[in-house]
Amino acid sequence: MLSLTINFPTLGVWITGLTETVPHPLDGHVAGIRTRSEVAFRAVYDATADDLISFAFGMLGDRKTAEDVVQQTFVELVKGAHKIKGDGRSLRAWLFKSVRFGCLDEYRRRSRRPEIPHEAIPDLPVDSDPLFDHLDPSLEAALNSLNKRHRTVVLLRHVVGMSADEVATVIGSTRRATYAVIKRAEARLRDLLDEYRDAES
Amino acid sequence: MSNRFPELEQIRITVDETTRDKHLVAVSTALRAREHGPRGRGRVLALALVLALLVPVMALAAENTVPGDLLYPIKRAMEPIVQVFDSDAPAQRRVREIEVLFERDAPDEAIVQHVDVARDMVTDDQSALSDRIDRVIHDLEMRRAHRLAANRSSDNPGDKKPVQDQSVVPVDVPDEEGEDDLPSSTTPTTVEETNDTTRRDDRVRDG
Repeated sequence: MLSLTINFPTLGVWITGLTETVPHPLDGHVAGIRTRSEVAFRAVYDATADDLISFAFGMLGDRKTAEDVVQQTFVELVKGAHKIKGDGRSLRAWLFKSVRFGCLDEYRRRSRRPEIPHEAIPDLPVDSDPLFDHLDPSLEAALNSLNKRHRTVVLLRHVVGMSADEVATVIGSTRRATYAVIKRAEARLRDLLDEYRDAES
Repeated sequence: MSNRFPELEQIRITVDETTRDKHLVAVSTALRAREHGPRGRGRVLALALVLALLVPVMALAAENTVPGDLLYPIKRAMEPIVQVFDSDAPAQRRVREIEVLFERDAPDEAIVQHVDVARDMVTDDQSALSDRIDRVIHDLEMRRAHRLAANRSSDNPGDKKPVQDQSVVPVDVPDEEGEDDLPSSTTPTTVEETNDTTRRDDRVRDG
């Protein structure tokens, strides 16, 4: 009966308010981060590290560098803790943005670094599992063929499992543009994967 | 994670204990380092920037001040810098200050006191500056004489001296009638200056 008396604009505000107040797991730690509580940093790390490392690993194809980027992201979070605004969603988006920038920096470093021929690298005993060796070669080749923006959105959407809205926040784009980029990136990846699989077979 | 791209499943990895410990140690270290870190330095830098902007502004604002003004100490503090470019500047500035004080009708004590300061700075070869000081002293004495005369003419003879007369610094300029009713506590400086002025005037006239 009450809903009959609510006019449309009010209802719109009410629905928006309802969706925005859905709690996020990191909401409770934002205040702790701002006040530089070590407990809060640990909690945020445990809640996000797997997603962040997977994203960085997908971007860089190198687990060691991915771990370094994530470590640097948390050090940056300590430095900018007093500037963190918003809720848990904003904090999570901040972390992914920071990892993304870390990966882009790593690309720049790699482009400046001279290419070492494979013959020049001696065969060293491998004590850890070089995970990228386990990747499907066609996937590795396909990811390397995607441009950086497409690679970012595909990984955020299909490895981290973000919604398109969250992806838009991380890449700093509008919702509409992000939807379009995701669609194009997915189509391109599908084509590339098929292409490389066909080539292998 | 995704049904559409099952191939991407293999990218999904988890942080092992060693990596987690390493990262959390880095976080702890950063947290401790930041306690006295760049934020503090930022404040110091901001303060330095404000001072760097404030000092020239204050120096400019203080440029035309005279003794007794709020910013006058800043003008004096900046003087060593001015002196580097123009060694005569301090003496010139003191003389100009005396002139301004006189133009502003400053109390006699203040002007006389500043004449002493200016005299100490003016050297023998700066005769133009000495002449300017002498002129101010001369004008000052004339003003006092006029003031006394005005007071006297407004008084009834035989009455006590008016109160405002006591505020005038005594000076040994004899009035027209040559009466010796002026207080005799003339400041030594003024006597000396007056005599000196006379001497200089003579010298100028002779020369």
